[in-house]
Amino acid sequence: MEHQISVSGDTATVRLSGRLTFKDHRAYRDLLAEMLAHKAKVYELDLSKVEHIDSAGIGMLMISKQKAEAEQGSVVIVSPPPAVRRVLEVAKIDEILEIRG
Amino acid sequence: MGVAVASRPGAAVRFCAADPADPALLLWSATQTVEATGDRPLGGGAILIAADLDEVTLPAILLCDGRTVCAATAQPDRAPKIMRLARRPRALFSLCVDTRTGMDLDMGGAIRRALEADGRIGGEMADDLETCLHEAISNALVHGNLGLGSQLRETPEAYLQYAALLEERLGDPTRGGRLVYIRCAALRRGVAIAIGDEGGGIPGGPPKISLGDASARCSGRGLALIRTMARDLRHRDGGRLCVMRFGGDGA
Repeated sequence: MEHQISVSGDTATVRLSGRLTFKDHRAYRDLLAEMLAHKAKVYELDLSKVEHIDSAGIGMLMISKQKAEAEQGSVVIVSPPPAVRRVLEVAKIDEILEIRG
Repeated sequence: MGVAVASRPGAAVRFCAADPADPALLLWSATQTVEATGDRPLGGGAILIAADLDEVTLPAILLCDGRTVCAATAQPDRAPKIMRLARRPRALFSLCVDTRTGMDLDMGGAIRRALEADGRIGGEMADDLETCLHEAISNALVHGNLGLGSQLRETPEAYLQYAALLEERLGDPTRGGRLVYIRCAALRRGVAIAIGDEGGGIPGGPPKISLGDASARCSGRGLALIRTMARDLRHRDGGRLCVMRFGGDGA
């Protein structure tokens, strides 16, 4: 998994690419710290370049939500590809996290 | 020493006979130079012991003619167990790796690509099979062989310690050297995939968490995803062995 972060106003956009799985805990922990350092109100997690997500990856999204909300922020999932969207929907994450695009 | 070269296009992998007395037992190594004498395609039932597997060679090996069994382990004392697993009949292929290797390789993706190339799966079923494989393999590696519970990922605070604990356990020769084995068999319609580990099993049996129950949690939805996406899921050997089926009347 790789990532890039850009900030516009109160929104920080995190563009993730590659695979978001149980092998990415350390990378995601570092990403989380970097992301939250921006003190944004909205964190957009752009998944358009994510090839695969598993339950550990979903857990990482949920951790992001909890951490952002603890600092009065919110998390939005943006543009998941069809295969990733299907996993999110089967896991009912679309009922908890806003998914755009 | 006899040499076999995979004959399927795109599977440019070279083998040599590991044991001249058993020409079906083949050895592959990325670091070994093999003189190509007596090239021949792999025969059915050939057993392959492979070291130094990576993301490129693993799918190629699984796609080889002969439905090879491959194992990536640097532990010669584990060879007898690997051979016993390898010689079980009716497998399309088997794959046996140690935990450290398993954490490095995309085994789920490799198996998906091998089964797709073989025409056994496709479309949404291929996506679902890969997701289920990832879940079952990560359970075997992380919860089984490394003995890390999913509750360690439940809170942000615990999660921040989780990555460090994972690496610590991987560095433990005993835990990091435990095997995970995957065996894929053809069904009349679809495939069955068994994934086994050498961990402590699941005391009290596998959790029955539904995706509705798990929706707000940070962990614990892996088995629920499998139950939803696979045709069925069974556990044996105290939870150390998980068997999933795909295709046919269900998913």
